[in-house]
Amino acid sequence: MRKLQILLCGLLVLSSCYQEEKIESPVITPELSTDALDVYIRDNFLDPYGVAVRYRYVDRYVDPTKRVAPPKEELVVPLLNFLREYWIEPFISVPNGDAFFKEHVPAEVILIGSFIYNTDGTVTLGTADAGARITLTEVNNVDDADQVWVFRQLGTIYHEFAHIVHQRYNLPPNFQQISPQGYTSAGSWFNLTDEEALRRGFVSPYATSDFNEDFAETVAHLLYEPDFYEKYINEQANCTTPDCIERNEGRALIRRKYNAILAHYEQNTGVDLLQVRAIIQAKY
Amino acid sequence: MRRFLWIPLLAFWLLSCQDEERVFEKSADERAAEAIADLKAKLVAPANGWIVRYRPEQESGSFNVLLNFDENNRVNIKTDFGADDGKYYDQTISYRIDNSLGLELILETYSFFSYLYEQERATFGAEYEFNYVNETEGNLVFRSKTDFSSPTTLVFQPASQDAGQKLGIQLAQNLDSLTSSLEKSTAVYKLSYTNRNLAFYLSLDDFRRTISFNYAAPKTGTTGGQELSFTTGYTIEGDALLFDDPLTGNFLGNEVSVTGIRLNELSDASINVCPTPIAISNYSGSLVESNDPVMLETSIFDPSAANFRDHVSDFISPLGFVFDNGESVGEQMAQDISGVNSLQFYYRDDNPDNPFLTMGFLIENESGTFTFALKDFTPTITGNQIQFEFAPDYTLYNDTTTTVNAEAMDFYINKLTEGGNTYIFKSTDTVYELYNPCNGWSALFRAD
Repeated sequence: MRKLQILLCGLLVLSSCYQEEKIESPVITPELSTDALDVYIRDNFLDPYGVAVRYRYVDRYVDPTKRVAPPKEELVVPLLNFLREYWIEPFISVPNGDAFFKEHVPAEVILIGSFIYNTDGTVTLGTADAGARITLTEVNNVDDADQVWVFRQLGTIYHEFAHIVHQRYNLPPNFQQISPQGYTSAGSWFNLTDEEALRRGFVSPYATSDFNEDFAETVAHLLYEPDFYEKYINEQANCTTPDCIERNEGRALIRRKYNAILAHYEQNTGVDLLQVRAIIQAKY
Repeated sequence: MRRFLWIPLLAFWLLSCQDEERVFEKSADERAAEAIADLKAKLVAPANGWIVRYRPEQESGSFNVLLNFDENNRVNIKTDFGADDGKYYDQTISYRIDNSLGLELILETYSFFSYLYEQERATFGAEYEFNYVNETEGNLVFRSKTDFSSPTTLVFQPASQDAGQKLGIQLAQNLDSLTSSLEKSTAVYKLSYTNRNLAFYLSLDDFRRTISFNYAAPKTGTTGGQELSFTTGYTIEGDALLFDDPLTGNFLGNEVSVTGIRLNELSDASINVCPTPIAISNYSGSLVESNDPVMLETSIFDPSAANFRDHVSDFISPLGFVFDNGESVGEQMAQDISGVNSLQFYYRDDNPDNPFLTMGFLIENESGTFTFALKDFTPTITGNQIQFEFAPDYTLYNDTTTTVNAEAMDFYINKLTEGGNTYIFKSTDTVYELYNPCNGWSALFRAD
């Protein structure tokens, strides 16, 4: 009986406000900006690829514990031209690349003028969120004649774009079994040198931080690093010292990752990363 | 008793269906849009814009900033801050008023404010997002959004037609010109009284807007001086640097109170420590309030660095921080010295029987090991001038099996030390600079 009373009470409350309630949300059509920079972005990114480029600072795009400075307006177009030349064109120029790029390109690219400054004194070079957004930093240092800036920027873009691939298709089969002992504990990757990472079978110390970062770092280095094969793939000949032997053992592990990644892209997207690499390398 | 439980429930049901329960006449979106439009109307209203005395941190000095907002979400910002080749003297960027927990003013793209925000790896307390507080007596009050501990309050006051005269662009440019002929990072100034035998050695921190008095000496020399440790914020206003706190006291027998320096006439001068005199400028004027005539000039003498070896013994200059007349030679050095990591300078003389006085390079070998290639020296120190007499060869430490390019290493060390005219300057508590004025080479060192 008591249960029945409770049920009746609930019905009374729930049924008491259903009368004549309509949802009439107005449809708001935002006015298109006529600002020259906004028009440029609309014509070159939003309309052809569905990418919204956010260069005006909005704090919800950045973790509130981080500190960043916004981009300089006059450097946004040079940065976007750089993205077109080194990111869009190499991908859309290869077989299946145009469809791949349009289907996987994130809906938003966030431009940050500075690094992302972390509270522990480190900086973050870029982020990717659930395949929907890439955040690029250091826009205010844009200079395509500065090889250090170019490589760091390309490393970030290709790295973050690669994250979208494993977020969509998972990691290549057995990728996690290739060098499981080499990964570092949380927050300690920066204690490794490049040399130590190589011996463990990784292209960079950051790649040792987890499987996903390993995947993204390997793809990025494969695409932008001119000496990729000499550094990470080809065995050093006449190897007799323990150091040299360990480096070659690391390269053997990277070769397995390299082959798994190439096959993974080919199988899931139809894109041959080596063709993309060839186009990028020809631009230097 | 249980039957009475139905009574409040029934009342709740009857009351719950009343129409027209709106507390506000308009929707939340409409009210937010109106509030934004209202603040925007206030911002664009003054014919001459707004003037703000902006103090990024409590310990810093202040900037006079003129802000002129327009209807198209653009704001013109005028300051007397000369960084980035004077870009922030007059800049127009986009702004936005947002509604979050309250109204916010966001300066959306890079400006004078974001330049300051980014200083010292974005730990300097400047900001470019502001919460609107209220309107008080015709002024608009904002508070910084990103300072969690002590938010900066900004009062926007309607600017008068001649408010631009508060900016001291000419003064800022002239101060830059005092040091421009000396291609080094650290600026040390000498402020001399015309009518007294007294000079102060001081430094200016441009983005903090602080002035530090480090030494008082007879204006005719540096001996017989007195160390000082006085720092205060300042504001540039027209042709004057106005101090937040006055420098007061008796220095070398002179009773002094300095509340600011007014500077108005540049003249040519020279520094004569090299075979060829170095052309510089002097800036003359008078002290605010006392009107004592004074002259400000760049100085090769840095009293705060003269006793560097009492405080610091190890100096490291990372690749890229060695300069030829202001231009980094890092890339060239990397090509010339295979695996170079940094220039190293050790001055450990606490054990006179076994001093470790040496300069050279840290080298990363291909095998992953490190080699220190260091050349011992015997110093002669006069004030902040160091003369180096080097041993003929490098000594290797750590991995001693590597082969080093002594000729290439000598090139860079010679540039910094040749002629016996190397000076050390204290840039900050943790950064020192070696500078050779006779060829313009310099190196910034992190003090460990």
